[in-house]
Amino acid sequence: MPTETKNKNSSKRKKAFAIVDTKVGNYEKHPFFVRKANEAKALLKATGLPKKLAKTK
Amino acid sequence: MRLSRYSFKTNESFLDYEFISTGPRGAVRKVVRFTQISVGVFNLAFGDLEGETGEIRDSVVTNNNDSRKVLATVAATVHDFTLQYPGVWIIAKGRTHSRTRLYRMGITNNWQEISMDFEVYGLESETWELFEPGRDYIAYLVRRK
Repeated sequence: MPTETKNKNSSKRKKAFAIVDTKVGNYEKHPFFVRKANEAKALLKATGLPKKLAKTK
Repeated sequence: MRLSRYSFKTNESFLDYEFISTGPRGAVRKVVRFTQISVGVFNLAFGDLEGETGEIRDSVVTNNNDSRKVLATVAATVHDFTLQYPGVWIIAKGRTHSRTRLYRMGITNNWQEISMDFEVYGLESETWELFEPGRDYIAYLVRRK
């Protein structure tokens, strides 16, 4: 699986509603979200992406 | 009309969001997470964070009488996330059929705003179709235009 968090550096960030707070946890490895991600991965494997995407790519 | 929503916070990654739902049940800490599941595709999931155990419960309805406001807040996190990660797809599926229907209501309630900025698809059987308000779907896929 490709690694995530290839985020842009702060100076290039677009204006957002959210308040950036370093106290907000990183839930990447939380079992709840891991399970949810695995379920979504299985679904996506079965369905693929919309055909329109395939044409535009 | 813009629905009211909670203010929310994120960390430096813009992948994790938190906000506090307030109502008859008191303050409930909600966590939203965008997890990469494939190249250019992220899963959206959210739930209630139990402060003492660290457990997360998969619930949008916490009997706090604010499900519309919660969904509007989650929709706002999608807006924020896609500003930082333009061009990616976000998939969302509820744990149960009724939960997924609730997501549909959330999209429908915010449709005017969402449809201006996002392509939205719903999963019918095994096929992604362009989202139509009022129709039931198994899951949803969105991408910023």
